[in-house]
Amino acid sequence: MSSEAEGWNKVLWERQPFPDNYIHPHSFLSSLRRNPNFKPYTYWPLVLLCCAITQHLATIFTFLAVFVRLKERWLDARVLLWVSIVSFFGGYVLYEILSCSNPVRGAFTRTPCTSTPGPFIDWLHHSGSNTIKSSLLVFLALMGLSPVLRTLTAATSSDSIWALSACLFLLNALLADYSSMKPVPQERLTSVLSMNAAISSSVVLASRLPDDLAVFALVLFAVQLFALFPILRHRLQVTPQVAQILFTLTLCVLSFALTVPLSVSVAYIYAGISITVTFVAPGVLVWAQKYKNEIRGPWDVAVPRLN
Amino acid sequence: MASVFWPCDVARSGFYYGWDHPALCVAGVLEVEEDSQADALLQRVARSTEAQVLIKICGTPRILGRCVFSSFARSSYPQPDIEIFCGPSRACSAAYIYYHRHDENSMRFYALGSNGTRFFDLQDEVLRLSLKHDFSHTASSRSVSNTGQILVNQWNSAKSLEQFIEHEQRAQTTVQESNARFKETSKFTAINKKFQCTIDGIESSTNLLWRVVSFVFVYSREFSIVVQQIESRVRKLRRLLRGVQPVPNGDVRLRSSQYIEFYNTLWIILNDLIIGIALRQFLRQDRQAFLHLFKLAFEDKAVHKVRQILLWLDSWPAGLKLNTELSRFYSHSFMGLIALWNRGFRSVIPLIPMLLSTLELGSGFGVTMALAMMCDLVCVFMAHVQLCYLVSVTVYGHLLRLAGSLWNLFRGRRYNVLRNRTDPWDYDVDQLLLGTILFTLVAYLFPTALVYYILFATMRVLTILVYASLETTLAFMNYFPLFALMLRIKDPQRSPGGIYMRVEPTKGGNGVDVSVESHPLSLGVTFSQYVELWEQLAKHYHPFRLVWYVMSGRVLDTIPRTYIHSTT
Repeated sequence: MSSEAEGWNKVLWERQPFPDNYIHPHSFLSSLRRNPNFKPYTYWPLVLLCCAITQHLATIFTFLAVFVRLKERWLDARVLLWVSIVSFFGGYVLYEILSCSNPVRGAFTRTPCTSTPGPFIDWLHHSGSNTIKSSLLVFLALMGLSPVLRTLTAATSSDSIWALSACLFLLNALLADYSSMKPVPQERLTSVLSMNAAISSSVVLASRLPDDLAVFALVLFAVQLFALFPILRHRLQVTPQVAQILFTLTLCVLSFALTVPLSVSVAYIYAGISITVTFVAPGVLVWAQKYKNEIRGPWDVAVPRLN
Repeated sequence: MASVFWPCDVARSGFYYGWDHPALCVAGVLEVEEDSQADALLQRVARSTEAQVLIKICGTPRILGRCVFSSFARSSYPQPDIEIFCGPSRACSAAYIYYHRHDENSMRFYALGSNGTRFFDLQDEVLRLSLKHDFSHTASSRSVSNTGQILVNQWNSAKSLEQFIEHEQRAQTTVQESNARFKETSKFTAINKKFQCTIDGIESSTNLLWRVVSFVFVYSREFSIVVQQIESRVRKLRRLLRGVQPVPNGDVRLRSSQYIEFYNTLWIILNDLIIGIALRQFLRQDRQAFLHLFKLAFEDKAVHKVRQILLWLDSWPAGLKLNTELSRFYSHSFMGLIALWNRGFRSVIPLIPMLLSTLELGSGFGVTMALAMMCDLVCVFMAHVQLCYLVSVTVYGHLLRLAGSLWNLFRGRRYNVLRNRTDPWDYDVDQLLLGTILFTLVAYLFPTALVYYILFATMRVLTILVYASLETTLAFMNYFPLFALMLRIKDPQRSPGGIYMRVEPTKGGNGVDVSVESHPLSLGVTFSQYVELWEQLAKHYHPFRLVWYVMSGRVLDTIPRTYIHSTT
């Protein structure tokens, strides 16, 4: 601390006896902060959040199992059709109940909830008619397009079909939206692309099926699982933890049970992947936290904090 | 020291007259004794009617001074000793700039730039009349605000002024000559007027037959090159009839350009006829060979080959697995179209010799008519390809546009018509779902549509290139400035494109001689119509443009009539 340094101020608009790039040795990089906003992950909440990925994988394998059954004619197309319709209604009712009990704040509230009797009329006015119209539209469009969809890739050989379908499902799993927050009002491009990949994959697989009704049932089921189910999954993230864990477990067990009669090795591979994703991967992430090294300082661009 | 513009061929002593505004420009020399006599003569001329036009563009001539020629005339250019009357009168030496005085009938003249000798390309009387009221249009020779232009006008009219003065001196009138000239041309004007009357009568008649005929004519002008060619030829002939009468006493530039244009049109038409008759002889001699060649080559290439290619495309071409249903639909419908056309063609085959003789007859009217007929024949004989092309380009174009709009859908954007841009937009789930389904359809059907489109687009591009070359040749034969080129070679002073001063040292002595010469018109100006035409054609048939249109699914068409004929 020489007497010279005492007169030094870290400003440039004052003529000082020091050169412009002088800095006091003690105060060099004193305002460097390491990991200032660091909130370390803990294991179990991370596992809970990873349940979304597990659920998605479960749906993929369920779909594949159903497809194989349809192809081998072990499953009747009409049964699948009824299952789809019933689960659509069930899922929609669940969705509405969840929205009512946890009203989503923000400008995009679609269903203002009233506890007065006659919620049916309210529901019909606000969003029910929309839902009925759009679901009917999709249903009829698929029914009309199923002969075309059956012959879209009929000429391709089966090997290419399996490969193409696998790639598309991989794409779907990678790009899917697993976030647990309220979804942005606008669908992001990646989540739309992942839905596209899943639907394309199901169309590609549907070309192996024998008749039109089976194609229609499969594509409808795919639309349910890959387009409508993720929306429900978002809503389910706000339920209490026990419910989520139970739901995940149910789905995994269901898909495992559907896959085992078809091929034991595939079932075991699937189980392995599931367990890795759910339990091992969060552990790795937690372990890797110690390598986190984020440097911030007053030289960075300021980040406004919006509450 | 004054600079004086002196004519090259004047070497007499006497009183010289000319203009003193904007510079001292001498028009000629009067050999009289008294300057009052010279003055009176000049005043009489200035008041006569023939000289009024001249005075309007040059200014009033005056007696400028007296000149004396020394007996030694050693240099090639006259070197008078002059005495200037107006201004500071001093018999001092002057710097002479020599210029040539051209006779009015020789049609040689000076011009400042090249716009004075531009071909008179206003073919419509109505347009020309309406231009009189257009105040933003700078008239070529009416405004005398340009000093350089005035000087040039003075040089051009010096000889005619001298002729007027000589006539006045001999006190003869020139009325008889102009009367004689007028009588000759009245015959052609009568023919022209009658023609104009018939056309007006047809256009305004309420007779149903004439209405139908004119409607058919106007409508078929868009499709058939032959009709366009006939129309333009008739228009040229009418202009010929109109142009036979010269503009009396007019601006020499106007007269010269009318003259050049008249003879140019005449030469083009004659050239056309000559080459056409030669072509006709050639066609006549090898008639059988042509017929045989045509019958053999055409049906094989245009019909059977196409059918073979369609069949090949339907059955996994080059190992590509196209969608069987769509491919089968495409190939069957196209083969049906071609078969339909083939049936028509077969019934027309016996008439082909007649077609060939029509072609010969047409080429008797000029090679342009033959080319026009060939253009039309190309169109007619490739009609099946055109039809199939239209179908496939529609499908392809729709697929491309659908894909573009689906891309917007997936990005979460929507096209805002009011602002002409894409804005972010929140789509419903069912819209996204339908978009997804459509996208899979488009993605899997696209290769099939693309393959068939490529086939017909290639054929269409080839047809268009053949058609374009025929049309280019036709346009060039119609508008070649042959006469202007020949004139330029033969007598460059009749088509001037600017002036320059030539400086050469005097023979035997000090000093220099400066004379004003004129540049001939540059080739660029002579061929300017050509260059414009070429630019239009190149812009429309440019290979890059064709490729871009093919790739983006737009319809390729031949050049519309208004593009070519608007430049002429």
